[in-house]
Amino acid sequence: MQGFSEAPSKVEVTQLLRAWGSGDDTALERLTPVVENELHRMAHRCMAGENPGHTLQTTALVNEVYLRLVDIQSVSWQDRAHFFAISARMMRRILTDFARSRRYQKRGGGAVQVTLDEALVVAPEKHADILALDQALTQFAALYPRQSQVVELRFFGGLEVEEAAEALKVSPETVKRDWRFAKTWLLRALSEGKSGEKDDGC
Amino acid sequence: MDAERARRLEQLYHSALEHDAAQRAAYLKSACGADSSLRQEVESLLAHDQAAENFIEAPAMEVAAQLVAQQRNQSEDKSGASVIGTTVSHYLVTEKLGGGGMGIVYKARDIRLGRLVALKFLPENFAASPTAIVRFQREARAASSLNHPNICTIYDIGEDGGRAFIAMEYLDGQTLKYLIESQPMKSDQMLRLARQIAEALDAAHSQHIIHRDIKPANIFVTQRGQAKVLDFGLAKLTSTPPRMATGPAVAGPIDGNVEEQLTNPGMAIGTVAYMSPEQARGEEVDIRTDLFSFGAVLYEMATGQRAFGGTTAAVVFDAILNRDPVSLSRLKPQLPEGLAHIVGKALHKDRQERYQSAAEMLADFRAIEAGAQVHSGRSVASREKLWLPALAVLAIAAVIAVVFSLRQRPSRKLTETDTVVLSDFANSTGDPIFDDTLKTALNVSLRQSPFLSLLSDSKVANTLQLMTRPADTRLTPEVARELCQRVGSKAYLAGSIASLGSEYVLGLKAVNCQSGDTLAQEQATAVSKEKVLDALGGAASKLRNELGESLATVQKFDVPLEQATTPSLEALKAYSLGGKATNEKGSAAALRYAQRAVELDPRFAMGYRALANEYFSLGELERTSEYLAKAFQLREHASEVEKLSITADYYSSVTGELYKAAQTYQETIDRYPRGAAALTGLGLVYAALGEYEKAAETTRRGMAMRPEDVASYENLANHVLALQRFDEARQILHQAQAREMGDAIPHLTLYALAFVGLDTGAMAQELKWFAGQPDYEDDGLALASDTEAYAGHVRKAQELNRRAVDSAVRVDNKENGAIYLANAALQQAAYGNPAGAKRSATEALKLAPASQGVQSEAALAFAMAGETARAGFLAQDSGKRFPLNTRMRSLWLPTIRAQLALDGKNPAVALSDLQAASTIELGQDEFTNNISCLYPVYVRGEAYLAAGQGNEAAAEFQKILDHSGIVWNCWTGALAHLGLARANALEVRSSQGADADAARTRALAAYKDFLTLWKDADPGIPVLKQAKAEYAKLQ
Repeated sequence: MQGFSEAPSKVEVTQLLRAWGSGDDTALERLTPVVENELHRMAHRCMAGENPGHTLQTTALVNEVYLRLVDIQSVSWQDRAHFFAISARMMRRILTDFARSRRYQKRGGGAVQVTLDEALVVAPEKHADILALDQALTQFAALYPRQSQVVELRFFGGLEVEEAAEALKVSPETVKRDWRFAKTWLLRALSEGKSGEKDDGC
Repeated sequence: MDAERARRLEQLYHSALEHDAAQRAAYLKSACGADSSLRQEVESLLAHDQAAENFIEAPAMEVAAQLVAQQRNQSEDKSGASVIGTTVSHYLVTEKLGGGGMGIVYKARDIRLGRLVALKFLPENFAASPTAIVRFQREARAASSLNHPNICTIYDIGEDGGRAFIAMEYLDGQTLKYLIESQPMKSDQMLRLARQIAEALDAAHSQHIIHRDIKPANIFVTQRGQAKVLDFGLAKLTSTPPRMATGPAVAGPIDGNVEEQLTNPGMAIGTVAYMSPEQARGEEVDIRTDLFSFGAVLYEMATGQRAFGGTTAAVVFDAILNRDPVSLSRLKPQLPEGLAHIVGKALHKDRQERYQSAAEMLADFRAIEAGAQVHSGRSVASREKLWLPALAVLAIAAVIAVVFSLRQRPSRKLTETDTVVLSDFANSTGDPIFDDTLKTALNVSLRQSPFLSLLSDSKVANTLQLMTRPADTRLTPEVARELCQRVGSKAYLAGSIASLGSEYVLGLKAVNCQSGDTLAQEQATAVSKEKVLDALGGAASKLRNELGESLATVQKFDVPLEQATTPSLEALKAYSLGGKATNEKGSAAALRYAQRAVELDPRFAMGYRALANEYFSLGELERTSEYLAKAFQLREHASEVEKLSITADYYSSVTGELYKAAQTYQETIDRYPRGAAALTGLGLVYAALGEYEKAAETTRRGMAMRPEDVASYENLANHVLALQRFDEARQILHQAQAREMGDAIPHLTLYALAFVGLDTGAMAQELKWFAGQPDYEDDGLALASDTEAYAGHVRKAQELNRRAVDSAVRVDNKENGAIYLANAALQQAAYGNPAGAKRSATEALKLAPASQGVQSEAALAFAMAGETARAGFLAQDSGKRFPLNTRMRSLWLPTIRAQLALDGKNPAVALSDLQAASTIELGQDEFTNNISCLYPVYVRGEAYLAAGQGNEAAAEFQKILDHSGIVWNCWTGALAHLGLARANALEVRSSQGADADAARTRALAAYKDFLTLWKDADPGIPVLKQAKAEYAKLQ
């Protein structure tokens, strides 16, 4: 399942999704590397693009991954929701790992500076420190599990409100409310973190 | 904060937002009452509400992309500066040597070995993708197998702190790019380098490694004037595959992506100027691509200017695709005659018109070089006045070349990357017993060494073919030397035996095949014929040490030859002839020699092993087991490497202890890292365990070492086919076919590919091939029978099956015949013909009563036909006879037991029995024509049906349908459609409303699939009648 296969078998992924959907947690363990590999590869394809102004359509990307991995004909509606949920979680992990590796490199040789200052003051919508956000989101999840899932799906998974609603089996209205609350909560956490603690050099 | 407070906070936040901003304070005051900290909390949230509107609205992906984009702008140098002075893995980095498309290169010292290396870090985005790393390692491994004086040797690959690196030969000198920048090269220097580069390309191409990026920056010229080609096989790692679906993961485009280069003005022209037209068009590359690029390099070497120039990539591409450069003979009339022609031919836009191999080009260079050498020695003479007969010219040139290369290569010993060619013995005793025998003995003796790597017999045969010599060509020292040069081996070993009175004098000599230098020499005397092997063994051990192997390993792996082989020269002779016959005429022809060998010496372990091998190739597994067990018993009469290999085969083929077999193979790989056979074996064990990815990876590693081994292509194709990667399997088989080594197994797989691809023409073509091969005719008939059964043509299937059985029996392959019968029995039982099933199974057992495969299948067939007592007895007996067999214990017995439980209307027990099978149920069965019919999955599907669990049953049958690369044309593939239909029909009954409707649609579709598949099936098949009735009822 790992290694250099061109595309993991659709059958396998579909079966694992089904298994996970019916409560088999080991299926998730086996599924994660498959999805992660695929997302990683897609993410890199886009992130390595030369044009910095290029807008990435994460939803399209995740959809493409989905189509590449899963035999759509034989997947039930619920599997699809599961898949999006996993994808978003994977994306979160990939992107935070990625951000972490950038930070590491910066210490080694002084490269890019994406600071919280820049993130919050200059263009909050663009440059939020993914690592700090990830941490804040973990704290948030302890208090608001469903609301944090909305963030995972929307921000890391790139899902639209309706899709997130489908994945979480709640109404779009709930997703909208959760999203607004979560964004506010997280932004506050990040601003307070910034003023409250000394920047550790990130 | 507790959960309740958190909930309250959220509620208040939303409620507050519903109020106008002006009224919020009042609202909160009343709502929070005395809890002022809660109020403050809500207020602080509300304070961020506005600012949060656009916060994280852009997906995280985009943010990450910006991060990368920013980093791109920083120079690559900055991040690398800190590497100097640090230790990376076990390399101390001392200085920076340069940078290029493939990353930055540093000079470093290998702390362990004390030698200097060049350390190349790959671009960082590379290291971030695990798939890219695996791919990189695989490519680098392939490239590191290249061992040639004109190719920069790769020592090591690794990863440190997330950055992938390659450690390679440190070279002192300059790149060709530097040397020819703006000035042409002298023609004698150019010719010498050109010949060396051509040799390097020839060596790589003969191992199917294409460079893809031949350019002056990738060619190094050492201080001594030796050309070294860099970065073999690595170029493709950095180029983006043309389509997403076809290529494995690639981290990022550095150079190579045409479209990007065209649209990116900043792209260095240097990376496109040497591209071939096919690369410029984004088409597939082959060895001729390298020859074109080489032509462009030659042009520049001769003229100091680029063959295809321009200031933007687009202009360069236009030149490559549409324009011919100014001819060399016009630009440089003083160049040696013929050179312009060579360059012109290399630069042909149409690959068909180019040189077809580097060897052809090399021959032309050599011819010119010969002329030019003489020519320059006669300073006044013009070309027209040259009167020496051509032969004399060549002779003088040859002498000059030898003298030259002697001076150039002072090293005398072998290193751990060198391979050695074994030539035939010169036997002047007049006693034919020594012909072939001594070479075999020497081979055994030297193969004990983990240090030496002998060129395999198959590679020798393959190279002889390339040299257009017959396969049975005697390897005289002259032929051995040519062969050695051609494959890039370091040396050849020549042996001789002569009689001196009643004594024998043996001589061994290792000769550097490039220079003709003697690297080592040994002589030994035997007082009698009986002592010859002893003497040879002693001489071989001394030679190993002399060639550079440590005394420690020489002593550790030094079983006396008589013990490692046989004291009987006659037996050894028969064994040797058998080995030759295998290579030249195939297993059937080789069998009788092996039989004779063990008759002559019943304690000859390798003889039994050979016998087992031949029987294995002929598909007779029962006899394979018998003789392997014998070899295993006698394994102390064998060298260490032979013992390991016998042990591994014993576990994998006799006792069937797959995990032990895997362990032994792994041990062999650790102890003898230069051997490919253990990798092949490990691949097969993985396949038997159903781990086809691992199987493919391992097999590929073996193939990289031994690309001429056709069996590996077959194995790999099967592994890849099992992973449903049909195109890849097809490509692999075509590569094998291009090698023109006819054997039955690729045709089995080719047939399977035709079947899964619904290509009836190709299927017929393969069957035709089988029909013309008496030894393999039965395989073709059995395949045809399975395909007929798959389509419900049971009568035709039966007739073909009968013919297959007869054909197998005719060539004394009863076990195959019995397997065909047992397969038929299973199919008959499943199709509703229990009486026929019992007859077939009984006959199968009669034909090959000892066969494990037959017994397992027959037991299952009896169970399916309701003959439970007999099935139970056979299963019990199998369990006793093969107590250790992994597949018997974990797959066959649970499946038979489950079927028996089903017979007893106890699906729950059946399902619990089958749990044991789940880990290896996709594994390959060695005894069927198909890789496997997935019986455990089929029976599990039936059990779920019996238990009324429609969804679960559907998943099992779907699994069969989804693994057509494993199931091939086995009947389970056909009945899986019906199983799926029944599973969904069950769901119709157990669900309601929309779910029931959907299940009905699925059930009807699956019934229809089955009935379409069986549209012209023979009438009256019970399972078909049932299916039609069920379908009608559901409609």
